[in-house]
Amino acid sequence: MISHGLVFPWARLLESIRLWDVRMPSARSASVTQRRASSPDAVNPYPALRLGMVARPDRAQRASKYGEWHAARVGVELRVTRGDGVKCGVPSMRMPDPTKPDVFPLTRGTWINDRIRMGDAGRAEINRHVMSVYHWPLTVYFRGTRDRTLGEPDDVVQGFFASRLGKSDFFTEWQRSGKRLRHWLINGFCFFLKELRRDQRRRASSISGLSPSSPVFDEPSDSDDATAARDMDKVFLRGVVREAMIEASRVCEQLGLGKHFEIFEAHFYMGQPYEVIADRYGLEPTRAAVMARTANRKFQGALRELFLKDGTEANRIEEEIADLLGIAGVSSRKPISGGEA
Amino acid sequence: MTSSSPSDNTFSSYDNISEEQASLMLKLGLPGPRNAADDLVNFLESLEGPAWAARVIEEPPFNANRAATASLFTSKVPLESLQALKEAGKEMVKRPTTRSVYLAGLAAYYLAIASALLHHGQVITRTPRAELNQILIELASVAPAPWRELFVAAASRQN
Repeated sequence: MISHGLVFPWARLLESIRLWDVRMPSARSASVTQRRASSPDAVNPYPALRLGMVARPDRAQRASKYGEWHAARVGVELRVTRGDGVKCGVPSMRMPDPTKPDVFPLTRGTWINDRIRMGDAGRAEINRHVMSVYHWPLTVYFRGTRDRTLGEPDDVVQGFFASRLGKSDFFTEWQRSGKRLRHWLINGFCFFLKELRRDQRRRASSISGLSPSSPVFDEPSDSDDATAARDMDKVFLRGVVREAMIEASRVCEQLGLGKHFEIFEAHFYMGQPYEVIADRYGLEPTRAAVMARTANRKFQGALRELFLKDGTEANRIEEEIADLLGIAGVSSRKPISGGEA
Repeated sequence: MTSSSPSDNTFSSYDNISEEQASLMLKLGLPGPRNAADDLVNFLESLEGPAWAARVIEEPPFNANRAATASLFTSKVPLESLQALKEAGKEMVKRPTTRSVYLAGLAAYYLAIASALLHHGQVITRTPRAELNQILIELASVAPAPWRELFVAAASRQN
């Protein structure tokens, strides 16, 4: 049995770290137990962990990562070592299986929870969010499937929204699933496509008078689910950036920062150097960079808002972005741009 | 510039966004390593930021040398005065008694550096010039006038 001993150099947090004991009884599972029940949750460095939760070893390592991250936020150093003194490696940023409920769910949906409690008006707001953020990714996904002959992408996606978003328990079921919202939606979408295929076969058989042929790919398997989720992740990555660009553009326009956004777009999105852009606008390159930076902050705000509405907790947005970048095979490290005071 | 609103999914100039482009843009959503200037940037961007900026130069450490403070934005101020202002600001940042003392220290620190760069062509910090420029640009993107002009002009200054 390997025990993960977690060592804080900061005495105030030492007590809290001892609350949790991560054990790996086999190569396939790990368990997390609470040592003392009396201490407050507020100082629990692993708020996502639950008493007795069983996780896979790689997920237990993710717990370490969260601990590390949490410690960094409060300005202390956290070293993670195993019981035998060996330092734990940095866990992979990649999700082990994006279709399965997350042990450390990113989709608690605070924004959505609040809207669900608001009743019909809140649900309408959620639906607007889902339709604006997911319409485009779902049409792109649909175009890439073998079902693309079922109808016009726009009609099919609208049909999916009409059939699912009207259900009163749609989002409470999603919360129960523990999945990311996009994975819940893509699952639902795949089932919706299955329903469309059935209808199409039924119609064809009623016209021909023959019995419906046996389904060839009716029941999605786990691997189908995983593939759909991975495909959706990649489309969602593009979709969320697309939506944030649209929103940032709108906000900048409203604030009289239209030119700022154009410069931001030309530099960051189209990759043009500031010298070229500045020349076009009759500005100094530094002024152009400042204007782009202003619009960039609007873009970052829009991006953050989209993740929040999508169910990601505020303190896990960076984690979520890093996960998406990992799925795209891109390093999430940024060049250093800071300085000392 | 895009031609679509968030709720209008029919067309957007970003419909052809590639995965590579999206990844680069998404990276912008990740904060880089934080530095003290970020605290000043965040505060200047808040609603109270502009009014605070106008008020803070009447307070320590700025009021210790009113003549130097007055000429921070307009004309040459002796380099020694700027170095003294920077050091006073740094001390306040290191040992802040309140949040507002901390922010005032940061303001003094970066205004002194920007002024030294603009008026004397001197980098009075160990921060590498490229990084310093990024910080000045970031500050300029949220600062009110006349701070903004000082930060922009300092970042533009060629040594």
